[in-house]
Amino acid sequence: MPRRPHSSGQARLLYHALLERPADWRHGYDLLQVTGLKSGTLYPLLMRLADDGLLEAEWSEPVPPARAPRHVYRLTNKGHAFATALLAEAGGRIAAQAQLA
Amino acid sequence: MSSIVSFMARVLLAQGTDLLPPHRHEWGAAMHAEFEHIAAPRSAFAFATGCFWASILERNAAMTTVQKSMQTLAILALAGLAGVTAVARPPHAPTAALFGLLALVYAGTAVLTYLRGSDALLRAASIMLGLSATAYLALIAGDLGLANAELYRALAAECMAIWAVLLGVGTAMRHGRFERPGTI
Repeated sequence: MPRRPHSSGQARLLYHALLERPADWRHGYDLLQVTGLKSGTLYPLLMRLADDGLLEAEWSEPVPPARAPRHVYRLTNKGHAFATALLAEAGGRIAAQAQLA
Repeated sequence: MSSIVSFMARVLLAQGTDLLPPHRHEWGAAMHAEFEHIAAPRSAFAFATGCFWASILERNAAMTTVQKSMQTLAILALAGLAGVTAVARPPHAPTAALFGLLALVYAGTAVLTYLRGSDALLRAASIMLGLSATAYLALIAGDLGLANAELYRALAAECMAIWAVLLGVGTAMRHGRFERPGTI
C-alpha cells in the first residue's frame, strides 16, 4: 500500500515539535535542535509541507542582538489538523499493538 | 582553524543555494539567514553540508525527465571515458601523463556535472573543445618535433569530437531548464 504523503518518521518528528507550541513561529535551527534532524532533511520537508499548504512561512523582524531577519514557520490550520490526526492515528495503532502483545 | 571551517561552510552554503531552482530561491535566502545565527563553526559546517545536499535534491527534483536523462547519459559517458583513458597505458611517459590528465578531466567533469548540472558541463566542454581544436590546428600546421605527433593529432581530433558531443548534451540539458514555476 502506498504511504500517505508527509507521513514519514522525520515528518512526524517535525509535527511533534511544531505541535508543542502551535501558535508560535519557529525558526529552522530551533527545529533542527528539537527534532535532531539534519538540515538536508528538514528543509526539503519544510518546502514540501509549504507547497501543500500544511505549513506557513514568513520573514520575522530581527530580535537584537540579531541584525538580519529570519525565516520562521508554523503549521496552518490544515497542517495542524493533518498532523494531529496522523499522530493520533499512529498513537492508536501503537496502543492496539501493545494490547495484542 | 575555526575560521577556516566557517569559511568553508560559507562557501559550501553559497555553492549549494546557488543550485536551487528559481522557485526555491527564497528558501536559499532562508538557509543563509539561519546560517548567520549559528555560532559554532562545526554546527555551521554541518548545517551548510545539509543545505548543500538539500539544494542538489531540489535542483534534481525540478529537472525534467529529458534533462535528468541527459545528465545521467553525460555522467555515464564521462565516467566511461575516464575509465578507458585511465587504464590505457601508453609506453611513452609524456603520452601516459597526457592520458592520466585527460582521465582526471573526464572524471572531474562527471562530478561537476552531477553537482552543478549543465553549467559545469557547458563550461568544461567549451574549454576542452577550444583546447583540443587549438592543439589539433597546431599539430597539423607544422612539425613540432614531437615523438608521437600522429598519436597526438588523432587524440586531439578524438577529443574535439567527444567534447563537441558533450557540448550538445550540455545545451540540451540547459534547454527548458526547470519545469516548475511558482514561489513558496
